[in-house]
Amino acid sequence: MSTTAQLPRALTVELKLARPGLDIRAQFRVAPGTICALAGRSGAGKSTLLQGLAGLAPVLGGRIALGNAVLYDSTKKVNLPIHARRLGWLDAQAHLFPHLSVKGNLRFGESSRRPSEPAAGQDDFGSYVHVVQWLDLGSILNKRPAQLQATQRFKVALGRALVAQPHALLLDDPLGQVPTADHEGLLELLAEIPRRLRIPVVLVTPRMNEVIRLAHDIVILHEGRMAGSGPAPHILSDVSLSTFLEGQHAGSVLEGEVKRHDLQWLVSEVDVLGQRVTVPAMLHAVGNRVRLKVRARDLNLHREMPFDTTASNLLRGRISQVLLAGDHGTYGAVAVALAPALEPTGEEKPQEAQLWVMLTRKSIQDQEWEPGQPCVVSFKAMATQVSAWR
Amino acid sequence: MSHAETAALWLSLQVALITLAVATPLAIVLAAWMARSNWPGKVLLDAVILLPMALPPAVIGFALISSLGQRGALGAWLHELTGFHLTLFPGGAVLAASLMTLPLMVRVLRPAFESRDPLLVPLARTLGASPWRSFLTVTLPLMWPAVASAMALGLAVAWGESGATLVLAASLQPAQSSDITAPVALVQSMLNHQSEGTALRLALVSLGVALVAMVISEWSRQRWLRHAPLSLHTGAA
Repeated sequence: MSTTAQLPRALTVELKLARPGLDIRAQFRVAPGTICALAGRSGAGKSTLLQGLAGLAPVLGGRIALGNAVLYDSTKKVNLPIHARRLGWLDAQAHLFPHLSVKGNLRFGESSRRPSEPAAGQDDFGSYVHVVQWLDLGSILNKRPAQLQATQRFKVALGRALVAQPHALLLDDPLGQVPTADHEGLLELLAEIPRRLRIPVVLVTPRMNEVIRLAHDIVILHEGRMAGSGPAPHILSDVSLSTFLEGQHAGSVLEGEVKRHDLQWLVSEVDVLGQRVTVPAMLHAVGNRVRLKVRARDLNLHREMPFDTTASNLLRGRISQVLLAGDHGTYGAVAVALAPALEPTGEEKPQEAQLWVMLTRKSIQDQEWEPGQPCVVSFKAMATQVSAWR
Repeated sequence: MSHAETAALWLSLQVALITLAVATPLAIVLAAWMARSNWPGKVLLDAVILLPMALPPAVIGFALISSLGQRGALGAWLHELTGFHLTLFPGGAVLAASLMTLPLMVRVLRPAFESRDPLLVPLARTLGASPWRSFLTVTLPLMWPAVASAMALGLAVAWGESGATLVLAASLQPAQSSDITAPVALVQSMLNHQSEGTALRLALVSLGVALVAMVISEWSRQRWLRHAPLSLHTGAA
């Protein structure tokens, strides 16, 4: 095996598949060390696409490659069998081997590692010893899968996939069977994987909070076709794509840095492009990056700084787009590009953030909102949802 | 125990073991295939495979004689081709026992194949295991209790096969008087109004064999159930 195999490699996918009643086409690239979420309504073809990628479902054509290594290419007649693709798989059912102990399950893929092939991460993160320690499985190593709870099953399945040293990881609703109370801790573990192993990760999940928490990039599938793709905050803040995702929960996602915790009032402050956003108190330390989700219908739009309002958040910006759902619809959406507090210095790439405000067609027309106008967006601290980000 | 009695028991054991060696691989392949494939008309084939279980054993014996016997079309053709002619032992007895055993083993094995998690083997392969390795480390260990259960049951049935063998024995005169299996010897001793000692001893040994086989079969089934998907326990599947 050449040395290039050990370098972080991107996963490039271009696939055509069919499922009864649905014809699926998608094309995307996942950089090493990042998570790409396949999002979309149920039945959009996300899971089928992921199965085709792993070699678990038949595909009709296309190409899959890890760096320069081709795993599948219909024109060149390359089609590596599942075990040669080395794409780790984890889904809600966990599929632990019932005849093996937890230890036996974890070590199942160990022998397929080549001795000459060191772990992909800086340290031997995927070694059996490390995985047991990292996932805290030491006390259940001799148990049988039938004796485990859902959360433990998830951890064992995750550990088993990592010990096999996958070249990429495919997650199909991995937390599907896990009680919600345990999600946060497990999301923390999942977020750590691309960073530690520097492999590409593809995630399919029906829960948008997992996408916000984990995804660097998003591919939106709608009825088998790609409705959009790009960096997560961009895609998640695009109201035109929100109908494929969240319906009435549609809104925007902002990235920022935790600046201050107010222990008297139990609120926290987050810096977003130099503007302060107040949110309910959270446990993320000062200096950490977080993602803030606000629903478009919870936001208000003003011409001037309002002085009499309960909204603790007042962000300055400029209207970049006004979308009306036809000339007779009830509502429309106004896009506001947030104004960076400081003008970007020459070399730095100017940062952007956008908020969507959902208003009735009546208010949009009465107040004559037009692209280019300066404005202020207001919302309550309680309207924000915070998730950790990196 | 007389010499004839031990000879009959020994012959029964031989027939049962040869039958098992023939029927087990066949049953595994058939059960795996019947559990997986699904096409219109499959029901009919399923029924044909299971048919011998429902037929009177004497009919099986008759069918064997009339097809493979010297006057049967297939038997005559085979005789011309290879010099083959159907004898009671081992050919006839093993064939009869196999026909009775195979459907039963398939019936026992099929739920095991039908209920196994279809993603376990593909999952083993995503962990880097070749098809052969996943068969050895996943399929076989998961299936062996069911296979053992089917084999124990098959052994008992093959040991005790008498209906079809009797018809064969009636048609094909055994080369030696000792060329008969235990159940047939039992029937003969009754027909010849011999002392009941022979019948009793043969019956007792048969009872022992059956009991041991059933215990092994049930014990293996319990083991299999323990590893079977949860849906089988809760009936949610």
